[in-house]
Amino acid sequence: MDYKFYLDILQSPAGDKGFYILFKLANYTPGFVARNSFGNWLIIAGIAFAGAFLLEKITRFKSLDYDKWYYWLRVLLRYRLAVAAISYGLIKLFPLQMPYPSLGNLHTAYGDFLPWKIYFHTTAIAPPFEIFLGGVELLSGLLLLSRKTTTFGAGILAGYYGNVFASNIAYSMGYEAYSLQLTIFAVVLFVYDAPRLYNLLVARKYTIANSYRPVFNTKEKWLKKIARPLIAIFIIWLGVAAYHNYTTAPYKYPAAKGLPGAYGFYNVRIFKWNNQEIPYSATDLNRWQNVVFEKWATLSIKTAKPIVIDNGLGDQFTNNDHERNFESAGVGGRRYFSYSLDTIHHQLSLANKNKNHKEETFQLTYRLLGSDTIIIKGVNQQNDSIYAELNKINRKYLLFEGRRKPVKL
Amino acid sequence: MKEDVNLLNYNAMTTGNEINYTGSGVWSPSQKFVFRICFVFFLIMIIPTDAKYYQKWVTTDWKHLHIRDMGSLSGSSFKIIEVATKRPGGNDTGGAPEKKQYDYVIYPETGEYGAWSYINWFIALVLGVAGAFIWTFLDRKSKNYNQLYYFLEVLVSYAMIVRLQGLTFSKIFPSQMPELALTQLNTPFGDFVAQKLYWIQFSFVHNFERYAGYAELVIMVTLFFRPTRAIGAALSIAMIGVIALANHTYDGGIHLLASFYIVGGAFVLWRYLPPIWNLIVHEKNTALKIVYYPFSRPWEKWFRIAFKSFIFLFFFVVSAYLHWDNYRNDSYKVPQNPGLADARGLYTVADFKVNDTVVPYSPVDSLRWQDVTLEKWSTLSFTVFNTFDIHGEAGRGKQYKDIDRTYESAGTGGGRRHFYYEIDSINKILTLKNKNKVYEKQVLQLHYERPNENEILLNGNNEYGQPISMVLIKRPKQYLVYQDRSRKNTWTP
Repeated sequence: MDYKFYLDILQSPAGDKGFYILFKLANYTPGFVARNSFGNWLIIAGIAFAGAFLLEKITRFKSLDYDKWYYWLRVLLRYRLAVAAISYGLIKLFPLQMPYPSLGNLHTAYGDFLPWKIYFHTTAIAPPFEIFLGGVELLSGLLLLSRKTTTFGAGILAGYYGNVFASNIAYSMGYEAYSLQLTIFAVVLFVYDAPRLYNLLVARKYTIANSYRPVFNTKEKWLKKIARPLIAIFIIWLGVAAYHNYTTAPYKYPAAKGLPGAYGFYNVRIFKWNNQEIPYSATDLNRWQNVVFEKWATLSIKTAKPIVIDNGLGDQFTNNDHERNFESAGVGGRRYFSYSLDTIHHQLSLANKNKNHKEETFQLTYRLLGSDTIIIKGVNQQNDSIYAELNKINRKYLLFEGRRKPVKL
Repeated sequence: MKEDVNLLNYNAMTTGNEINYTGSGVWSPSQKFVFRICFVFFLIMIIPTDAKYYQKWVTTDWKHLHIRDMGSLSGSSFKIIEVATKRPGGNDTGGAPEKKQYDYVIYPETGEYGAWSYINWFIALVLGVAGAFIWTFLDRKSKNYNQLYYFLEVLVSYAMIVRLQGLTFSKIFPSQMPELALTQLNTPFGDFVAQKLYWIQFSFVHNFERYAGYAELVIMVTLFFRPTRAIGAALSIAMIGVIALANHTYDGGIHLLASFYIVGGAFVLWRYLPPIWNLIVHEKNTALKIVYYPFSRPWEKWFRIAFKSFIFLFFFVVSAYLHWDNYRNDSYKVPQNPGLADARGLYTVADFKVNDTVVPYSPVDSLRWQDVTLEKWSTLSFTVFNTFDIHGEAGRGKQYKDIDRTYESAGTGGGRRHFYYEIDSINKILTLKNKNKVYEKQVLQLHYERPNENEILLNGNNEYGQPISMVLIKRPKQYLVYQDRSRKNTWTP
């Protein structure tokens, strides 16, 4: 009902196989004020009260079949919750939502992350666990598609999204309103059978089963006949698109390949600023301390210069690598640059990914000496000249070494 | 409405009251056999066979009861074969510091985390099957085991309560995941082992830790009462079962403890499932056909009340009190001796000398210290560019001595070193001892001077006996992990 949603769908990229559009459709939530804000809820509550009042007036003289309305409301909630759970389940089943931390992030101190990023990375370092969580979400969503198993799916999702809501608050992950919305949907669906379950399990009494059977008129029968296959197609298509995105170009990291063979962590052995050599320093604002080349076209540099943190969540759908800021959002310590690569003229053109520092750019040439040394020369946006000798450090990470064998590092 | 003919047998249909199902039904031979296996299996898994456990009830110092005692009084897991690893510091699965010795020890390639760690469960199951055969041979008269079934369900439920209380109350009073140490805040993400990252994600959001604790308390309470037992069992599987899987994927080390809630929860929930399915999926009128032991004789009634009261008082009330007391006075994973007064902070190292020669700052020097941190308690940490043997402990357990309390240092690498220190404030000397047990012989003596509140001069010897000296300069540092995403945040080194 919110026109901005349609504008967004129409104006932004569809993603390969329509993945972006499908995911957004699966997770529509009214954004009258701002996305994921409780302000919307006030407006919706107002509309609901007005609607209830109006309905009361209109139906004063004829009695409405509330049982049936309630039935259709649950149908709506079921499918709405099901597609949301399936879509979020899929991006965990194919670990897209919380991708493995980038190498630059592994070289960032624990205290230099915003809480949401710690939460994401902590889940991401155990892909089997993320896959399991996605599996639970997906399965519960599928249970909602059948009326008879709805209570089980809704019960699991009430606990699941309740927990997501709690962690959203604890780590300020930005989806407080949406996760509470999904929790409420699940609770409303679960409530239908809850008194019966209470009577059976807690009161331990003989329990009368649900006896409401909807009788459909012709129009409703047609609606069901059309809607069911459509939803099935939607879900299957979403699954294929999510799998395709995962296997080809996971949407949170840039797609373009980085400098061939450069992936790694580099010490900056020699550094010159305007032809003046600056020795190792952890306090000099201009001196590069170390550099990380990612597998994709991102390079991050550690300097002592303060960074205004990108408060985004890095979860927007975009085909523009520079705007894919998951690796650089919510984290300090390093300056992240997307780069365009000219392998013929050995040129790197760097642009800071942080919108608070977007003025920062470098025009560089590079020279590879052997497999472990890269010489970089060039200028920044203010024409300060830079020279750096990067030496790859082949170090081990305790995160990869694990706890099962003796480790020295 | 279609009526279920069977249900006409119960007076409940007419009165609507609780059914006094007599359970006079006859079980099929296979049902009886499976029950016998379960009975023997759970008995072996739950009832401690170790005489020392029972001695504990006598030898415990009741006047000075400690959360350590709660651990050893809440049972011991069935263990014939110790599954261990030979790497230094492995085998740290938490619990009390003193370790029992086992006659049979195996060292599988997957360490304590793989399928081999379930070997004792497998033995219990084999014994269960063997026991079931013998039982079948001896007992040909029993038509059903309705009453035994009830008692076994109670036993399993209470075992789950008793094993959970420590974890519950050390989250409600956040000491299972205590506050982050400064050294952890200054260690790169990739230099932690996965288990450590899983743990410390709670260490800066204590309300979330409390929330998890209250959720576990809900499990304990619902398992405690008969009417809510099915709900408790379902929650056990959903929550502690997920924790079991997490422990497997993060190599957390307490997967055996947690997995018990999958098996135990499933066992308790099992007989509620057919009625639930019948009511919800088939939409048929349903009653639970569950036999409860009537406790009709007075002594039975009193025994039940006394037993329940004891469990509640000891494993809920006393345990909660002890954990609260521990949290307030001696949070068990955090060293308690105070460090240098007002020195807590992150320090830049300047003027570093080895053998009286200045070593300028370099990120790739194996001797020069970088990023020194001093905690509130007496731990000093620093980074050097070097590799060290990692001691595999998890930083768990209820250790007595500060030097053994390694939550802050266990599971970290990347050239970061952690030293416990003692202060001689008269001669102004710090005696530092390496907290990594591989290097426990390393002792440093450093004379300290504090010319002003932001500087500390150190002068003494390093781990290799070389004379060193340096100036530590305090660095004002705000950590993003404590900041609010909706504000403007600026990172500084």
